[in-house]
This record gives sequence, C-alpha cells and structure tokens, in this order.
Amino acid sequence: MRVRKKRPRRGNAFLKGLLVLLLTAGVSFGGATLWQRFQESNSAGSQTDTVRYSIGPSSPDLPSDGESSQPETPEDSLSQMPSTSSFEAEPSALPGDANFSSSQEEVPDTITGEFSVEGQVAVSDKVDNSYFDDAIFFGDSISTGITAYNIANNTACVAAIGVSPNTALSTPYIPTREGGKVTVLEAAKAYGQRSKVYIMLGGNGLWQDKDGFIADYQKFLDAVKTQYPGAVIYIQSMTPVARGVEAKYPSVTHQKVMEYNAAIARLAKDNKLPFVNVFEALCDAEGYLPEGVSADGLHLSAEYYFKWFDYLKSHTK
Amino acid sequence: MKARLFPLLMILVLVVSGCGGKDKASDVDPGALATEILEQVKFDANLVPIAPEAVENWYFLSDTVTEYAIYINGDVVPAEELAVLKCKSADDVAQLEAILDQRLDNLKTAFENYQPMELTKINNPVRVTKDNVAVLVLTDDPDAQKTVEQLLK
Repeated sequence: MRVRKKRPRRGNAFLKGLLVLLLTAGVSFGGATLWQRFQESNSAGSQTDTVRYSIGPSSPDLPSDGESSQPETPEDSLSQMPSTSSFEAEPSALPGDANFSSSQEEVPDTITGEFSVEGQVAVSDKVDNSYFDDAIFFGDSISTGITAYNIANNTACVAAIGVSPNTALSTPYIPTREGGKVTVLEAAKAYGQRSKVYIMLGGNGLWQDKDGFIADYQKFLDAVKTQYPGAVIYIQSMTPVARGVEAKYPSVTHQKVMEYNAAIARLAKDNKLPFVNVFEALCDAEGYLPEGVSADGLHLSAEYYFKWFDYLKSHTK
Repeated sequence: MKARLFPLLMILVLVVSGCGGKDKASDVDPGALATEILEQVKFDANLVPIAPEAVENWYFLSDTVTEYAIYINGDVVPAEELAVLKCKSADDVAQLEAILDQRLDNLKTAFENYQPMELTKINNPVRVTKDNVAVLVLTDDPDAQKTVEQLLK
C-alpha cells in the first residue's frame, strides 16, 4: 500500500510570515508614536494645549534702570510684566523689564513752567501705577503706544490711528473679532464703568478751524460724560512735535499745536474739568519734541511714554 | 491566491505603520523664527513684541493658534510688522491665514486716509506658509520674501 506522505502546508509558512510582519509593524508604529509624544511633551512643556508666547530680542528703545525719569524700584514701575497664567513666556525684555539696557543718547531735561497753562492740574503727591486700575484712556495713534509699549497694562486704553474730535463719535475705528468695527466709545463699553477717564485728541484735527475743532471736542466730551457719570475726566494736552514735522504731516505744526492746546485748556476750564498739560513734560526748552525721540516727529519713543505717565502720576486731581 | 494576497497585505501593513502619529507638523519655534527674521530682514522701525494681554488690540487670535510671536511698530509709522503664528497641524493653517488677512484689512483701513504711502507695504506683504506655520512681514526690504522662505525651508 502506498502511503501518501502529507506535504507540509505552505499556508503555515505564509501565516507565520504575516504574523511576524504584523508584529514588526505594530512595534514600529507604537514606538514611533511614543517617541513623538515624548518629544512633544519635552519641548512644549506641560501645557501643550496652551498658547505659548514666544519672544525674541529686546527692544533697544527702552530706558535703562539708571535714568532719572524711570521709577526707582521695580515695584514702582508703571509697566508690569505680562501675566503668564495662560501663556508660556520666555524671559522677555518688554518695557519696564529691570534687566533691559538702553542704547539711546541722554535726553535733555524738559522745562516745567515755561509752557504751563493757567488752571492746569498742579503738581500733586505722586501716586503709583495702581491709580490707573480703574482708568480708561481715549486717543489717537499716539495713545496706541500706551498698549504697544506695555506702559500700563493695568489700565484700559481705547485708541486708534486717525481718531480726531470730528470723527471720534461717528467713525468706527476699532476692529472687532467678528470682522466689523465700532466707535471708540462703543468699544470702551467692554471695560465697564471707569472712575477716571483720560482724553488726548487733536493731532488729527489740526486741519480744522479752531471753532469747529472745539465744537466737535465738546460733543465728544458730552458723550463721555454721559457714558461715565461721576468719573473724573482728565483732558490732556496734545504732545509736542519735533522741528520739521510738517514735512511728514502737513497740517501739524508746532504753532498750531500750541494754539489748539490753549483752546483745549479753555474747553476744559469751561467744562470744569482738569486739564493735564502733558506737553510741558515732554517738550524741550523751546517747546519742541527733542531730537531723536521720535521717528517721524510726531509719535513718541517708549521712553517718552514713561515720561508722560510719570507726569500723570504726579498731576492727579 | 495566497501568493497574490501576501504582497497586498505587506503593502497594507506598511501603509498603516507609516501613518503613526499626528498630521505633518513643523517643529518651528515662532519666537526663534521671529528673531531670525528680525536679524535678517531690513526694518526701518524698532519693532517691539506685543504683550499677551494686549495682543487683541492688533490680532484676534483664535484657539487654533498654539504659539505665536508678534512684533509691531510702537511708533505707528512706518507700518512695519512681523507675525509668526503656529497651529497644531497643517489642517488648521487656513485659520492662521485668515487671522493675518483680517489684520491686513484693518491696517489698510487705518492707513488709507492717514499715511497712504504706507499702503505700498500693506498691499504687498510678505506671506509665507509652511505646514502649520504662517508668517506675515511688512517691510520695504525687497529680499524679505526670499529670506523668509529660506528660513522656513
């Protein structure tokens, strides 16, 4: 009888090979995933779902610790370091950082008294930056620097390029997340009631005749009074401009700034509101913005925002 | 039959194992990239970083943004700026671009009646997107586009 030998089943080898392949692939896949997650957790820290604020080099326009215009201690600094509760931040050199060093030339002293205005807010005991906790600032592009340079991140600031007395009530300057724009007063509602209001307007309105300028400023003031009943409303002068500024901003001249500031001071007086003469804190002996403190003769360097706020802190009602 | 099946199964296994992990994502550090851009691209202004609590005054960042580095000109003029936004994966990068588009629209509106000459920069921005990173640079440097593309390679 012929015994038929059983041939080895080729299927067994096939299955074994497949099993080996699957095991190998599974190990590779799992290992790659674990490695990737290990790398991610090391590089991003523990809050991988949190926005990470990455910062680069420091800003060379910022003042050093030694300058007299600067607060003497970090605690007295107007500018507080940004909160890192929801952001991961590397060590930064934002305005007010005690480790920051300046490369600017020394700025000449300003003269107080020479450009004083009758009835302006007098010197008072210096307050600290918490004074602005319940304040709100309204203004044009110059006031945007308050936020840009992190001068007082404890206060509210609603400002935009182009705001002027004749457009402040009607033109929607402030972009919204939804894609539209609203007026400064509308945008300010997000901050609720404030006890102090600071207004600085005028640089974009110098083309207007003075009477029309003041009439429009009054309308804006009336709206502010309605929105902030009971608040102290500080009317700030415009800031000085550099020599030759009219080359870049034809309607802006030193003479006009002086004249319109005087008119704004009268407006404040007529409304029985305090007039804060920021101009005198920032100008040189001849009433101009000193050389080197403005890239365009109109907007201020970070250091001059600190001067501005130092003045506000020592001129409160 | 089995002979034909085996290669197909091998291909399937290789494809599945190759798909391990998340979507393709760059390991770019926005802060480091911004530093390099600031060093290699010519800017007339001294750009400053925006503090986190102030960023909404300029950019409306959504939850899609996982990391960012944004530098603006605190002096306003010239209209120079730098923004590096990062999201989790390339699938979301269109949202980053929408954020940058919105910023450009707002800048156009702000400057068209203020300093119209700045519109040249704003209308010709440097825009580079790679994987999950989107970059916006406003500058007069004619080589900026090439520089940023090189840095993001």
